[in-house]
Amino acid sequence: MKRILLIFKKDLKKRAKSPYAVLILLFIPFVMTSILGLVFSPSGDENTFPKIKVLVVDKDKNIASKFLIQAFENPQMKDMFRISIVDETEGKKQISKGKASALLIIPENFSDNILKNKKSEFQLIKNPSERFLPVIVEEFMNTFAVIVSGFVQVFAEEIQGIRLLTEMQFKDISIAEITPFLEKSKQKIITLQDYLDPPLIKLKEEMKEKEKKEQKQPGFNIFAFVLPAISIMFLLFIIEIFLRDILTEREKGTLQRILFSSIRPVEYILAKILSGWLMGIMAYLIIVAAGILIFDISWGNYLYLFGFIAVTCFWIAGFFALLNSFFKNRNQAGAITAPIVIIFSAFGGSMVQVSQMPEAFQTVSRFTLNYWFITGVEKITKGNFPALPFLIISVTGTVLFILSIIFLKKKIRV
Amino acid sequence: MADEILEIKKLNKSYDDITALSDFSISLKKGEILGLLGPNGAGKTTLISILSGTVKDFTGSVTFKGKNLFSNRKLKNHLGIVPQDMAFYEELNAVDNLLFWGGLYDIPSGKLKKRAAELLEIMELKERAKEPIKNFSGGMKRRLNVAIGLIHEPELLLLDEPTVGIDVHAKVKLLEIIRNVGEKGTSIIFTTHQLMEAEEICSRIVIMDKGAILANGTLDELIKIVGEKELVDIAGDFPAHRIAEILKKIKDVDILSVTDNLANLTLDNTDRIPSLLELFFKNDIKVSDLKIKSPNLETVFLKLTGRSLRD
Repeated sequence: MKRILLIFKKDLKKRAKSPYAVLILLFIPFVMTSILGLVFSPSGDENTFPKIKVLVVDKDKNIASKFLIQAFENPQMKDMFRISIVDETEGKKQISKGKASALLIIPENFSDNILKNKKSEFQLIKNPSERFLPVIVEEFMNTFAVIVSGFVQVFAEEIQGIRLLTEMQFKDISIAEITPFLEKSKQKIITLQDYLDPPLIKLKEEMKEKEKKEQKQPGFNIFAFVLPAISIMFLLFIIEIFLRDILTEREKGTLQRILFSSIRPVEYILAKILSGWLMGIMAYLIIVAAGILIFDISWGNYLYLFGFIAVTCFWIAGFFALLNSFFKNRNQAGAITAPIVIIFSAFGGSMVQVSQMPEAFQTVSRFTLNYWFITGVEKITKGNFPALPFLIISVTGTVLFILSIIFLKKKIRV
Repeated sequence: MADEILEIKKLNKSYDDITALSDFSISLKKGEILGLLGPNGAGKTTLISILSGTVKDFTGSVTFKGKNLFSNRKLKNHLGIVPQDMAFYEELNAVDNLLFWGGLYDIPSGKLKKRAAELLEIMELKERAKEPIKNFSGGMKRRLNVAIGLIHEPELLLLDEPTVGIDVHAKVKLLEIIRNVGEKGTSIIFTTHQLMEAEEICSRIVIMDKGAILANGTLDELIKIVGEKELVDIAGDFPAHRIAEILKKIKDVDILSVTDNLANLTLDNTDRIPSLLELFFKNDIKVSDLKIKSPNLETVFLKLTGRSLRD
């Protein structure tokens, strides 16, 4: 154990004298995260969901369409939607350029059809380049349609009355004529009130007061999404540098000199894996700390996170130790490991979200460390223990570790 | 024998079809400096690799103080190696290197620091002990390489061409240090293809070629192989077969090697040279240069292998 620690301390000292490669690999994830985060985060308060831009063509220009437009503008919906009233030509032009999530066309005679209890159809044109926001608009419109349909069904008579009234001049309206309708409405409303108040299903809204120290409300933090995905790629590169050192030492003759002492080959291999493992953990802890300080990321349960990082770095160290047992020299190692890391990262979700990929690629992604790491960190940030990712990484990591010892022992002897 | 520290018996090692060592057997006494002399590919480095444990798959036995060297890992603590490559960490300074390499041999910390300081003094590296090694000259790096081999005060030191790539002044200094180490009781196996180095410091020399031992003895014993004859090098403009024909007819001439335009031979008496030149002139052999040397290892090597050590 003493010699293993001696070799580890020596590697640390060596790296400290020439840290530039590791520092650059640590620095790049922050640059990339910042760029991607700033590009994709909404303007204004970064903790709120991006507002969905909806273009509205109001061909009705009557009570029902005004009611619909007002529905978009009520206090709750206003945080989610940003509507613009446009004409149809302009609206279609903007949608084709991708300048809005959806275009809603309220047909002519919409109000009239409602009053006459006739069917009416909205037209919703969705932006094809967006996957989620247009769906939200669609859902809102479906809900609105259900509510209006229900209202029309329940207050059919009253609406009829209103229609007649709207067709009459005010001077021709008598109190005696409208009183029955009002009475009936009153009864229905009283009956409905029993069902509507208190409501069976309630939406609980909590507005936390801002604390003096300006603690923001937890919301969607794009950096928390991007940084783990990118940083796992660079963690692979960082640990690989330490394990490639085995080949460097072999070429320079220091390995033979080390093995000339009474140290066992397995002690040397363990020392190298330990170097890679511990340096990986240290590097990722720096990433975690910087994530908190720079990007205000909340990582969740830090005990879970530390354990998960430890097991991930163990996997990576074993993986590259095993790979290095097959390479002829460090140049070959450098040439081959870089594409391996990039492929892992591309399929594993470090560059593109796995859910955005074709199904076949999603299957392949499960064979990458990146996929399980990103999944695990996601669970931890939500306060859960990442049982399955932890299990998969620790089991496969142990297998890699054992295989690396076996093959490296053969490699470092002629 | 009682004072034999190392005994190597019938070592054989091949790489595919190439024989690296063939029935190689030597012994080394305590305090002896044994020179292994041979051209590139003679098997010197293979021997060092076997002794250092990095090469397996060989036949034969190696005992150190009567014990199988490879059966007991602890025996390695008594051996030191100075490889041909500069095997240390250039990112670290001399002190850090010595402390690391010494640490592998379980030397107590206080003793290790004292030993490191001592070696830096001996190797004349004390003034620059804390500087990065990448700033060292070639000679300084070679001295550090030797210091690392000595950090744990080994009883047997393996030196694999320790003076490669350094200037004459640095070489002389290093050889002096090695000689002093030997005089203090450390047994040394010193591989080289430099005749001067072997003659300078080795108490016994083994000449090897193509994995086999050609001769084994002190310098005087080896020289006796070629007798007391002077070595004569003749250079000129002549085909090999022509001069060989002429020389074969002359008594007391031993032909060591003959090639086009160069002949190496030994003569009992250099007084015969004028008559030799006259004979060459009569037979239209054009001689441009003639050198006479006293018997040395080169002569021995030429006699044994038919070629120069530099070939």
